[in-house]
Amino acid sequence: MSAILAAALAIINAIIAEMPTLLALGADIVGMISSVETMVKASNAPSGPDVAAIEDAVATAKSQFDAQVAALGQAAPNS
Amino acid sequence: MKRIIPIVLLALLLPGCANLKAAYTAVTAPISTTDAQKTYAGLETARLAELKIAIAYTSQPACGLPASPPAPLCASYSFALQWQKADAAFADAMLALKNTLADSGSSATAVQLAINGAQNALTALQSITASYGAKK
Repeated sequence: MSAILAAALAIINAIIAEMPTLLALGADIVGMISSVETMVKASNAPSGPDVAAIEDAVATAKSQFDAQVAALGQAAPNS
Repeated sequence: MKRIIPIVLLALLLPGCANLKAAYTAVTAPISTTDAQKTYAGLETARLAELKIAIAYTSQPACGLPASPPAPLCASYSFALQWQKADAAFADAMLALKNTLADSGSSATAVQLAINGAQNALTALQSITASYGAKK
């Protein structure tokens, strides 16, 4: 029984001795997953030629609209 | 004693498993790249459509002048200003949505709230366009 107990304690001691390595490995894995998560979420940011084209068209239309509103205000501010 | 060893091992492994599960859940959050891109592009396209109607309206002669055509064929400055304010509010909501999508720390709930905000601003803008349509 004492031999079994000694073996069990040896195993537990070995595991405890390796705990820093295991924890570091676990932290690495979590870090890697977190990096993937960051990449996945960052890739959600609206981008690409389609979005850029729409944004450009909106910016152009907005400028034209603002200019026309300003002109309207000068022509008939009380209308 | 034989029963204690697996329990000790399990106790050592469980926190790690919990961390892995949490990380996996975060990775598989219900925000797909395609959906986010489509939603943003769709809302921006809707804004472009509203702006084109607003441009067509404000390109008409100003109302209130001696030579002005009757109401549906002239443009009211106060109405144009109202349109401009609604568009500015929509632009702010779209910027907030864009920033939320770009932020790697944004949760699915935050993204959904930003989408709701942009959709509400679009509805407000569309109601102004509809009231211009009703004037016609």
